[in-house]
Amino acid sequence: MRRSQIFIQLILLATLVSLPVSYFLLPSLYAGTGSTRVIEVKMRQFGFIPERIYLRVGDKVVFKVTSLDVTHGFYIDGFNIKESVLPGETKEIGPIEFNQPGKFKLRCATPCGPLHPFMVADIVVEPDYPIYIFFGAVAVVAIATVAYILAKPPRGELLGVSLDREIDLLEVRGIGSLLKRFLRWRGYHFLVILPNLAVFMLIFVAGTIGNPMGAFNFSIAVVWILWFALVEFMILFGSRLWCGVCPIPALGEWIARRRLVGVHEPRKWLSLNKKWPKRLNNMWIPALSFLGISLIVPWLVTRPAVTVLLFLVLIILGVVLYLVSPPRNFCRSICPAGGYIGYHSLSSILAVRSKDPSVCDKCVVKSCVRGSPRSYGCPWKLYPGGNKWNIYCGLDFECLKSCPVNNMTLKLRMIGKDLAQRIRMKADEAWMGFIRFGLALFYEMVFFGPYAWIKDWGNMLNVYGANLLTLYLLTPTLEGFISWLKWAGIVSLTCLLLIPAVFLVFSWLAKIAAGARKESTKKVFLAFSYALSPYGLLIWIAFALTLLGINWAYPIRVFSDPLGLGWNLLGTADINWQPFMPTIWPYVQMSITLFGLALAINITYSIAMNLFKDHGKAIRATAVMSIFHVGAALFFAMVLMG
Amino acid sequence: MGSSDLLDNEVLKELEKIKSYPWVTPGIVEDSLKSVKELIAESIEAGLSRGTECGYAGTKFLFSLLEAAGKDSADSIEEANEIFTVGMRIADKLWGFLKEGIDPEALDRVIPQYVEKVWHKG
Ligand code: SF4
Ligand SMILES: [Cu+2]
Repeated sequence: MRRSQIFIQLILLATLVSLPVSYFLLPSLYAGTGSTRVIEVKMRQFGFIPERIYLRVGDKVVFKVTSLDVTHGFYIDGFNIKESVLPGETKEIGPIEFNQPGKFKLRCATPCGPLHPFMVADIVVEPDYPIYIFFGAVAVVAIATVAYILAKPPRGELLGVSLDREIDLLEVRGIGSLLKRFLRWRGYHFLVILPNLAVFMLIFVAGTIGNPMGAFNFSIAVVWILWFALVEFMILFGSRLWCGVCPIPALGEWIARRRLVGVHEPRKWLSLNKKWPKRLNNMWIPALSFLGISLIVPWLVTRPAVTVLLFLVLIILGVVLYLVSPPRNFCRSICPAGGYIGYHSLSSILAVRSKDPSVCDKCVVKSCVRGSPRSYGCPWKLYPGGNKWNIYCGLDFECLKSCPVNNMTLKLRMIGKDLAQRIRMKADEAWMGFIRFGLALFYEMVFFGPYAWIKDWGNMLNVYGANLLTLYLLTPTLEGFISWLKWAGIVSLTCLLLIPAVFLVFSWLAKIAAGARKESTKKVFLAFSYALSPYGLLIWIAFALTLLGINWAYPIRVFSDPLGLGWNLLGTADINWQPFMPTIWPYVQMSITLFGLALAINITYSIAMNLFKDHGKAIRATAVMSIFHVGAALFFAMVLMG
Repeated sequence: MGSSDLLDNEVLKELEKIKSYPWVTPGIVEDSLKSVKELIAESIEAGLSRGTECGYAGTKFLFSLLEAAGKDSADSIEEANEIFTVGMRIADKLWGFLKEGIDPEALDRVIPQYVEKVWHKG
């Protein structure tokens, strides 16, 4: 190993590990060093007054808590206190000793309305050392990464890891051959879809007639906590693995093929066989529909009716489009989930690739494209043998089955490998990146931040919940609608204009700094935007981890009582809502984000090398772009700890 | 038209090419050709495109030979290419015959004769 490799890996490892460790070191220093105070707190749907409470480390605090409307629950992350507060009642809670400096969440612990899960306030225990630690860590990671690329790492390397290092999963001793047999078995696809289809059915039933309150409804808890979080991990470790098991297009696929498992002959689809318009072969619709769905998130994740409606629309579109123009055009260019999953899959560590590209060059059989009695030609319309990108590889594994010389395989590689190796420049994908990046920061700030007013805007109306049968309850008032428009406006402007505009300015500056005036700014801007693919993914993973850590109890509960009718099928219905080590999550989130930062800087350098073909130019451009990425990390640190 | 009139030289030439592969035995070639013929007849019936379906028939020929020989894959890409191409060309011939209105059953009878000619002529 070269010295610069050891250096970057040691620094990264040390910083990312020491962040969570610092959490455990701080508190013992301050036990009982402060004064005793009484603080009045009012609770209302869906916030606390005051929104932020400032304490000195070591303080003992008695909270005098009043509810202004309905029954709420008073809960502080990291303390074993959960008190319900009835309307009009004032309760004294404490004294509680705050020996840990930093920011803590005050949460509502009693479901009190649609936005209950997001009813939080901040307690800032000063001096807020953790934020300085966070800032310091951002600086260390950024400087170390820049120092590493200053040492001129070889082209095929990211953060000290050689991009040639790959593991062929189908060759791994023991599991490799089993996996190969499983994936090449024609029944594979049907088998993995089946359980998901069952879950889908349950989602429909629960969303239609189940408990109108999201927290108690299978559709909400499973989709917006479990699925939503797990998919982020799936992307990192499994690329579009979800697309390979997703039931949404399956019905259409089975009908059009007139088969559940086998390959149909003669090869006539039961479909209108229309040509898919070329104009739609991109990610604009997925990107914009993902943004659109994000705008109604305060509804979507709290009212089963809205979730079920969304699923209905998706499944109908999925089936109908399959029957109009097969195969996976819906997945490629309509589905909002397919869009962001594909975009971030560009950075995934898993990929279906040819073992030996030269074999594919020589091949005239091309059964991976034209199909064979063993398999369909790639349903995602790729040429698998020559494919270099994950974005539209749906992990159907048809090419694994179809190759007459078994030249296709499944590989594990370094995160971001493909993006570091060659330039990609597509505006639709760039905007998908901005939207996802913007929403990651925005969601963290809004849903887990203390500002109740912005949640009020997004909420639109205060109906607790509705299932499909009581959908009419969700008719918004004019006033509610107007406030929602403000919310939608802020979110859209941030994602569609503000972030891209800032990024554009940085790209232009980077180009100037690189001394590449002649290079088109658009090209530089689009190429650099792909650094957000791994960076955004890691921030989302950080978000997802916390989502699961705080709310793990909901999905577990609903498996016992999917409709929220008081059943207890598996004996897990009574599990208490109890966040799992909630105070450690910000530290873990920051660690993950910093790994994303290091990747973003390094990939930017690789992209710059591919663009400018010159180390000096690439370094200067990277330095400028790094300011953007560091800024985002600092912003995120503020949201978590500031 | 008697079935021997259907003995097309080009088809014979194609089959000659794959004779050298030891695992390609006359029995499995006969079965594969029959399944290709079946496929072509159905594809014409279904109004599918000649170019695309003959390509597919090439893979069908290749994979049914592999399967009948109990092989998971071809030994080399060159071998796969050759068998595939032979299958595709024969499929195209068969397509032509059927399009000309030749009775599918006559083709069924002539297929064993092809195999006989190529593998046992010595
Ligand atoms: S994957 Fe297999 S079938 Fe496809 S081009 Fe490569 S060798 Fe040919
Ligand atoms: Cu509440």
